[in-house]
Amino acid sequence: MTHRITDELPQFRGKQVRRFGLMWRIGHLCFALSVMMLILTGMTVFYADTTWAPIVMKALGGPKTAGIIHRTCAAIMLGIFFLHLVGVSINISRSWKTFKWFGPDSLVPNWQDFKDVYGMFRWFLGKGPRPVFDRWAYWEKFDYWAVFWGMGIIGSTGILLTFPNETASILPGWVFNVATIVHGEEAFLAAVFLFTVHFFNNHFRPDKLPPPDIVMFTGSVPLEEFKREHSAQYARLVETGQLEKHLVKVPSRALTLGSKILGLVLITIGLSLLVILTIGFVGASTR
Amino acid sequence: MSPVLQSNRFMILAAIFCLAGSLATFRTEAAAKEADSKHEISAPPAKLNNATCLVCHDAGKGELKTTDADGNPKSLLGLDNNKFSKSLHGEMQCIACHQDITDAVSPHKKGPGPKANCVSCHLELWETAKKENLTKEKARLEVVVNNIEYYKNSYHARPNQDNPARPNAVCDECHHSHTFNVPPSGTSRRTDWHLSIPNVCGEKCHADQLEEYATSVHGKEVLENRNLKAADCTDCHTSHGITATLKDAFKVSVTENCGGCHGKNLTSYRDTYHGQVNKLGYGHTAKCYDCHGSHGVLRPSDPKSTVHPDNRLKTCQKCHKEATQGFTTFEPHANTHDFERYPQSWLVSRFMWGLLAFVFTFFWLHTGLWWYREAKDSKARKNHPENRGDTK
Repeated sequence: MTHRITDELPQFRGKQVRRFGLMWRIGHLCFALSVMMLILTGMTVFYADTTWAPIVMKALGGPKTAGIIHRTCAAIMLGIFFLHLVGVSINISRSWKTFKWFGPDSLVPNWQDFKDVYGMFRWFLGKGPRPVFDRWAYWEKFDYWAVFWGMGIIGSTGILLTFPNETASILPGWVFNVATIVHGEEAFLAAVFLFTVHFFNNHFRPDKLPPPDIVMFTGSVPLEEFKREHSAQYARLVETGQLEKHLVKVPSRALTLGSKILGLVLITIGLSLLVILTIGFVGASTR
Repeated sequence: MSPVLQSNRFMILAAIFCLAGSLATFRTEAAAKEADSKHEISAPPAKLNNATCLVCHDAGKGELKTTDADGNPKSLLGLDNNKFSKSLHGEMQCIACHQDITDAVSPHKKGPGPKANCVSCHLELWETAKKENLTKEKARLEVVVNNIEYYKNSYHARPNQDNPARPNAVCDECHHSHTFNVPPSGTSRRTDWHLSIPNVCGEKCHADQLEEYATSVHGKEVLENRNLKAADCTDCHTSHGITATLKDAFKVSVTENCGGCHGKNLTSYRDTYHGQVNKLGYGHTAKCYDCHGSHGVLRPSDPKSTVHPDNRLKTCQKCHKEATQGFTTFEPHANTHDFERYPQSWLVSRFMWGLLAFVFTFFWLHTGLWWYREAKDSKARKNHPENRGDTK
């Protein structure tokens, strides 16, 4: 149904739809790089028993250097997270009176998301049509809020472990035992989630092949893809005549090529990390 | 090693070497003749055998004395032939090892043959065994040869700081070459032999360590209760392959050595940052002995133990200079399966496993089904006549 609409609006052909502003894209890239570095340095210690870990640790320059890298990346990651909180607060406060918390532009989960989860499973099982999504599909909202959980859990335990003297002056020693377990397991959860579920949703499902999806680097998606992935938003924008506001030129060839290379590099790093994590996990469970 | 003991020993050795050197090079013809006539036992025998050697070197004759070329009194190496004949090498001729001795004259006029050397002889024997395809029959010799290899890379084989011409320790300083024998396993003699290890290491060289060890839980078990299971020097330091304790190689391997007996504690240690970094091959994080002490290790319940609750903060502060009170209740050997002892770790690990199981079950199911449906749909779309040639 919806794909007929562009046929009626030929002036939009060849255009792209803006999804992410420059700050979000830079933030995502720095976030991805710092998280990958955190995973590498952290998991090398977490899976010290593996054959790969001593090699990686040597390449990193030893545990003291790895520790500095780990805490530097943690500061970058937490810094980006807090800057993002500031940015979001400013955005919301500016449109405080008109901002719809449960509206289509909000990342706050709403009733429709739960209906969409149900609808997706019905579609998976061939019992219903594929749900259509507005600006943020529920898995995108989950990816967003999962970071809050991760930051809260991994970040807070990491800070406890970074400042042991301060921690131990107010808290009992078992906090270190608990923080170590939670920090490592939650980081494992985050890493494996990112490199399987997040990668699949955005790069590896049949409609997205071949990887990479470069929207997070170019900031925009082709209109055709936008129509397919965010049909409800597309229909809404066309109906309210707002689509044009979101249209941008096709990114330059250089930006597109650079984004593809960067995307493939990051995916390769992520999958490599997934491989060494798997080796570590299997090794630890068979010991 | 006590520096006083060590330097004394080398002074004596150095004196003997100098004396021998001066005798060999500076002895005048006349002096030589005089000396020869004084100490000659008989005309040089056609063949030197053990009986000939024992005429002078029999320890059964009490303290053996002779005089050197200058007429100064000098003690003579004595051999207890009874013990020697029961030793591993008891059927060998003295000169088979002491190849530089060619006469029965005091002082010996050293020949061109090499001085007694355990290493070269055993290596030669092994080479011969390999040539004759007897390596399986000579399994014990292989052990010796391997030990030689370990020794060559050991701290003991390195040049001594005070006297670089000699290594820190040679074979016969531990093995008493003239009586050496390994008693059959299971015998009380074997037990005695094993229990003598701390004294072998401690008596001549490592006296301070022995003294401290004797007060430790290990030392009391070995020296007083004759408990073979308790650690002696070699259980932690290894024997032939012993390395310098300041090197990372030792700091990394010693945790494994302690873990040879204290397996569960090694496993729980490996779950902490201390143990993980140690496993990666770096020695700077806390190792067993940094907290528990080494030669003087005591039970944690002993009020003098470094890990007794009263002393713990001070022990932590050895590395964590600013450590605060909470450090003392950190559990460096916690596990996640003992609720009685470590309830917090038990609970939180159960929670984390539940969370992981829930998240991955839901999302991997979601992912797998999505893949299946989308692949099916996209195939159907591509095969639809209207959409042939439609990419994506």
